[in-house]
Amino acid sequence: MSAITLSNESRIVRSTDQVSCDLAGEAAILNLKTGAYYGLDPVGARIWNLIQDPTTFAQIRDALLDSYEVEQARLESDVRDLVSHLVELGLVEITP
Amino acid sequence: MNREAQFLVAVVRRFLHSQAVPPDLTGLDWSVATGLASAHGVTPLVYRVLRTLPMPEQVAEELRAAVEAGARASLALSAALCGLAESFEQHAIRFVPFKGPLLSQQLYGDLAFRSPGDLDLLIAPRDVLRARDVLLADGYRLESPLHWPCDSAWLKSRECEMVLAAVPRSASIDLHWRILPAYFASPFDRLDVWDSLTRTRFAGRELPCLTPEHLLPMLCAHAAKHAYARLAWICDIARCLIALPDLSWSTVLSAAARAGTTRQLLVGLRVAENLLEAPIPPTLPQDGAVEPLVQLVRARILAGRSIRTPELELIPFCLRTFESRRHRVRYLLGHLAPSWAEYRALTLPPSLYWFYYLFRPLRLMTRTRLRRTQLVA
Repeated sequence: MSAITLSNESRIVRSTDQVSCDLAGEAAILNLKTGAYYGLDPVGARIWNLIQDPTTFAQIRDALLDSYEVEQARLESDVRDLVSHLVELGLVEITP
Repeated sequence: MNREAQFLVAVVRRFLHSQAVPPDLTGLDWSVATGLASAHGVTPLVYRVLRTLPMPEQVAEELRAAVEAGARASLALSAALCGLAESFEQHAIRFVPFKGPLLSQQLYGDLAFRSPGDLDLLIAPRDVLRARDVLLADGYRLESPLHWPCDSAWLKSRECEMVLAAVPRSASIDLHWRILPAYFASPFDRLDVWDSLTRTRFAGRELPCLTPEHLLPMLCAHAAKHAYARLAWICDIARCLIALPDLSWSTVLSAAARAGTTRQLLVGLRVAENLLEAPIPPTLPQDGAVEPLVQLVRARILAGRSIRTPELELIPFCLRTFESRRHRVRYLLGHLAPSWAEYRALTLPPSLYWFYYLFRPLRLMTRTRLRRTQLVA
């Protein structure tokens, strides 16, 4: 998986080709095009909730830095990896 | 009073009101409690409350697995709903999803809080056969029986619905051309929901849905039809009162009064208040017949009785919820009309349809006699 280029202003939003639900803090997602199910752990679910409407990378990072004790560089890298993966799966879209 | 049923009601109350007293876990038979939660359709709510409490690990795992399976089912139904919405919109067929995952989202803000088994869509009567054709072309097949293979037979349903299922079976679709069957009096006798639909965001698209002023009476009427047997239906009413506090009570009450079904609404509200502390308006019409019905529902739920109310209890209960003799007669006459059981037992052409009215009592009498014989044996 190659991390895509995300600037602080990149806007990230859930794709319209998915439907998801809460699993008591985690999230379950169904890709409407492929019929594949995916699960997100609580941190992934937190990001998923943040991108219900278009949200910038910086807004996601700041919201998570407020909630978790983690180094900023490590957090940015993890968020990039997750978002890249979700883009590959067709579950989120990015506008520069 | 059944310990596990009492516990279940306390858990659902806690789900609705975070300040409610935490449920007492001591001395529970967990298999009975989880079985009851499943039968009452409240497992997703129960899991969300209990996961913060010290429950046995095995029970937590079982509940978690059930919640995951339910979430997958909800997602699958949601995907089916999105596909149907696209097809119906392409063919200019008006529809309203009025239960299922859309209701879960409307009331609870998420798809996975209810345990829907199927999709219920209201279709304008003139569009029902076209909707059927679209579903058949999309790969669905008919599940409900026909008394004869012709178009008119598709609309001969006492419940005013037809059931289709996806192939391979993943979603079951109930197409309704009335919100409640014609024999069951409700505010919808005098309401045209098509005139005042609203829209809601669902899975990235806009879908039509009932207004809050139609949603609440629909929940009360549907629960009344089944004698409020499931806690999930009562919880839906309670949640409707919590999540939609701005609904117009004058509209709801005047529609119920016009149809002569105020008691049905009052019983729904009072049951939700009595069992789940739902916030109901301080001034409601008074009806001395309501409280005894509320106590009946309460006693039945807290006794942990079977979810399926026997007809010998259900019919008298429903008769008591009707205010007018006309509605009671209509309900009883509805029970004389042929059901799918008769269609399954006997195939008749439309010209001989009247024979079902003779056949039904004969079939019921035979069934009752057989049951008695089995009991004696």
